[in-house]
Amino acid sequence: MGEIADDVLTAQKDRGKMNQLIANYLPFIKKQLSRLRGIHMEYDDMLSLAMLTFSGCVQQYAVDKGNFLAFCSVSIRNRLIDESRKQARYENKIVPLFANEDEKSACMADAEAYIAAYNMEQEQNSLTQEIEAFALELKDFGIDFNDLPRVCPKQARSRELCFRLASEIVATPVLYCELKTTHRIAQKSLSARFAVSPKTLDKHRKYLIALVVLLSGDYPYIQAFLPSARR
Amino acid sequence: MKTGIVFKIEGRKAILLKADGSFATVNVKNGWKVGQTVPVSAAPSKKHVALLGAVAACFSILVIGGFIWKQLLSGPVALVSLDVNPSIELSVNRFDRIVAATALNEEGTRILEETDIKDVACQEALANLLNAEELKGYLAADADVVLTVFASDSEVQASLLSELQAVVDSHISLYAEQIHAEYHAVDEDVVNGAHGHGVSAGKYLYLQELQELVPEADLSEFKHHSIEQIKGEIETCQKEHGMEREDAHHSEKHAAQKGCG
Repeated sequence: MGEIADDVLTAQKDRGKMNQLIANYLPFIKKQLSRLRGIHMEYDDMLSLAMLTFSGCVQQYAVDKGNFLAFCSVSIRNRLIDESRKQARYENKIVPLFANEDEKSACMADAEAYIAAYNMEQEQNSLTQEIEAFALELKDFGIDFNDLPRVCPKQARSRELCFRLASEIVATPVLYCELKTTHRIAQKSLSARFAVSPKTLDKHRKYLIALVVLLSGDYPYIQAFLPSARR
Repeated sequence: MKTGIVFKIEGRKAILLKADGSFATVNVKNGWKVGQTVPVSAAPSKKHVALLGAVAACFSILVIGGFIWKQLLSGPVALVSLDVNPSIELSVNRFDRIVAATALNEEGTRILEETDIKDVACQEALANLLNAEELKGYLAADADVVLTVFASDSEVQASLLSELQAVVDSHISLYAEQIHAEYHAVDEDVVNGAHGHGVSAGKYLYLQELQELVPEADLSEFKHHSIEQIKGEIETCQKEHGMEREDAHHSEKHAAQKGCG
């Protein structure tokens, strides 16, 4: 258990370690989902929220909070139950309050509700800060949030491709430096390497740059939410 | 239900990052804040809604247009009657196509059973009727062929009559040189009168002529007669009237002579 606590404390300061930690504990996160019942959400959305919550738990963890995985398990579960209730209110459906009636007592429910509310607030604050920073960084490239819905590929397959391209740019110093200095994507290189037409690259240029900025920047909460974090 | 993170709120619109990596502009709901994770309904995009709307509009136009086409544009604008002995009436639309064919006697029924002329061009339909096996037996020497055309548009009436006359003339010459063919442009009164008696417009013309000679005649007794038979009746009546006129003339002359002597 000491080893996990050390990893968590290290990850609080190191983005790379944070990503590694999420990747290492992805099976644990997925297992929390499989234990839940009566959650009316799509699996991908549940997983994104669970990973977001895990990131939040890493950021908030302190040794005096006890076992990290137990703390994380409760946080993920409560987060998803709360989100499911929110969506049920949105859809006007009835959702079971607890996954397992036997496990609950009024005292525990109150405590966990408090933790869930606190975690959500922390998560929202962290996300807000990341979003503000992300907006500023995009501004350097002449991109505004208003542009993104329009330039974002509508097909999942195209978005997948953009994620791969963005990951490649981040992982290749030459390509990354060229983007940072010239604010232009190395279309020829990418086009040749991935057998993608320059027109396609040009069409999704802004979305691609936004992804590069996201994947290369200090945005652990947003990254946890993105599908790339699951791979 | 999908989930998204609120990235920006501007007025009544919010920009979300969804879990699938896409960005979307949606309407803001109460209580939303930047950084919040929110539910996102799988509503169709404006583009899809517009597309669906366009498809629905096109479909409606097709349905309504088809109905209008059927009711107005493809409705009859002319009536053609053909009497050989078989008696047939054809309804013709503005595109000169047959929309209905009615047999007015048993012989006409047999001809129509043999020949499918629905939606065929009028000229071709007439040619098909004249070529029908059932009808050939009637196209003999001294046969009477009467064709009438009614249309509220006089130009259409004249044009159609001329074209159909050419069709009939070219066909009857194949069978016998002594067939008597008549072609008449008739008005609405004749058509209505014909329909009132259950006969073709061509036959009705002859029935009217008979009634002028014999006002007390009951036309319903003659409706099943062929035109040839009605013509025979007319001739008989004309001869009788002619003999009466001669007798009347001789009587006047005799009376005048007596008066002078």
